[in-house]
Amino acid sequence: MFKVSKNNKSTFKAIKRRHFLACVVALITAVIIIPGMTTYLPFHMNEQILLPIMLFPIIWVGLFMYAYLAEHVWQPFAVMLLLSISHGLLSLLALMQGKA
Amino acid sequence: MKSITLKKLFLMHSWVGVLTAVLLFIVAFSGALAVLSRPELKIWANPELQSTQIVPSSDINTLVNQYYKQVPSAFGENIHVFMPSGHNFYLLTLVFESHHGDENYSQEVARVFQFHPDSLALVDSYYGPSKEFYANKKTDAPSYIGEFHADLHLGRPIGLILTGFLGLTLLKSAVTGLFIHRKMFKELFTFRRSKGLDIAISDAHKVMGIWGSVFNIVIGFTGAFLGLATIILLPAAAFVSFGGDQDKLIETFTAIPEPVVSHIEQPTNIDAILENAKSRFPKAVIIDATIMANNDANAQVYLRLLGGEAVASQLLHYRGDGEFVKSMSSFGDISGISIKVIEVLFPLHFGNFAGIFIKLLWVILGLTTALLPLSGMMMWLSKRTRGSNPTLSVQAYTRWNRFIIGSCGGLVLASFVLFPLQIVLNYSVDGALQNAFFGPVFFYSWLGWLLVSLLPMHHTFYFKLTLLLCGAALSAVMPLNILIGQNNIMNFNSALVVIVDSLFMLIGLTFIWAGLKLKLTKQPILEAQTV
Repeated sequence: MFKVSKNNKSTFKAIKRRHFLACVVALITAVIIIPGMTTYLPFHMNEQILLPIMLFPIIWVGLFMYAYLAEHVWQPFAVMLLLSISHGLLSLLALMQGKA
Repeated sequence: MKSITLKKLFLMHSWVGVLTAVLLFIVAFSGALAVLSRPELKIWANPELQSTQIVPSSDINTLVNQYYKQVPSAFGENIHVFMPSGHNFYLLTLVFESHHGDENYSQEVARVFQFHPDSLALVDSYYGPSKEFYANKKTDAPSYIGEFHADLHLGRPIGLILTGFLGLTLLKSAVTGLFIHRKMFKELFTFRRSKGLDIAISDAHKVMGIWGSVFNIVIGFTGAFLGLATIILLPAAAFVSFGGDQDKLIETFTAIPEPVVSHIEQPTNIDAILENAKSRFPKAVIIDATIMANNDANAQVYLRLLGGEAVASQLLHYRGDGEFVKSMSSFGDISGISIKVIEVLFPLHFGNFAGIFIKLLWVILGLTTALLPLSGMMMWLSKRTRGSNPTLSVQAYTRWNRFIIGSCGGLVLASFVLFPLQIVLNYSVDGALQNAFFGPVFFYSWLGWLLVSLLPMHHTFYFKLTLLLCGAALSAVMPLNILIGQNNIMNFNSALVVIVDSLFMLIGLTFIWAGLKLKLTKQPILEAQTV
């Protein structure tokens, strides 16, 4: 029904990967960041839990926009991967300490 | 800002807008109606509430103690009193709960007594699992629309996640929209109605988007929070913070902790507590009361209040003897700035923090939020039919328009049909039996109107029909209420009913007028030509 505009192709490089990063990876990363942030924020426990939750929409919008605005597609990918791994590990460590 | 960055932002704005246009319209339109659902439209929908929404404190005290004596002692652990304020139940409702079940049930079980707000006559009673009582409580047309806005009736968590995600996309569209419309001040006041439909729609999109940008950012942010926080984010964050200890998590975040029963008898002074709350916050509405360990020396009473001077809802804590302990957030006694911000997010989303005028403003802004994705979609489609090498055929353009009218106009029609249905149900069906009708009427009328879009007719004609049917549905409310309603414009028993019926008539007639005024294009039906 629609023809893909060549103009869009020249605006964005690696458009399919950017779609995937923005729609899927950014959401997963933002969700992983929230519990991870609770482990290092220097506040009272209530603030540690609630502040990252309030920041979630902003984090997601930021990552979503960065996925498209970055010059090279590997840049947002690397940032999201780093954020996911680091915050995932922090969450895992906190859980293991809690069980021990 | 570089032109390539602006171009990228523009494309992001377009793609997200086009992909979520219909869903965003559905959520925003139902949200605009939901703003008035509690208490205004709920009172309109329930004749019991139209007589009074205030029950004297002494009567509540008498009823609680009278029925407390009738239920087994285990059911005195927790007593909930839901006021007939138009926010929750349509009757004064006393719920006596036993958390540990009884001889018949191993789960939380309740004995419930419901009274007419005015006569205080016992209307209904229930004995069984608490969850079933709350799940099957009587609903009405405005509440049904409000619940549809929250989770699209897809159930939780899927529905909440979907609406939460739409909040995120609205936030992103509003932010990118602000970046791409840099000549904001000029565009705030530019609306060229005489320059043709395409330019008028484009100007309207910009005017609505820029004027409503702060509102859209707030609604997107709060909507994302309300949808996703309780389902995904809070459990995940709290789970890690408590090292997986879920009992500790619940203990910390429970607003009302269980008291230690002393077994020393002391009457709980419900009457004095309710009067004290009214004198402390005279403009606020008491939504419900929770009495724990009734008539024990360690009894605790919690009152949930809405409105008045406070922006957010608040929880008042009293001892059983009537001594005021403290006022706290409705989430419990949690310290910190974050909880204060979260408290404010709720009234900011619902628009219930400063009276009816703010609510009406929220309705108008909510409707512009609903129209934004539609106008954006129309601009996007129209752009693709123009030029020497259009990417969208005229036939496809017509089909897309019919789909939008069928899905979005169909939702408007389905919502409007619920209001005359409510009058008919009030006349012919008792209490919670009405619940069975709203879902089928709403979804079948929506689906039916969407299926009409498959017929080969011009989209302008289809739009005209939609306007006329919507107008007919709303303007039928007042005559129906006069014919079979308990309170109506003729007997003037309830000022609220008169105002709501008159507004329905006015809006209905406006739809009919717009439908009749709409000029049909002389362009022949494209599908008919090609067949």
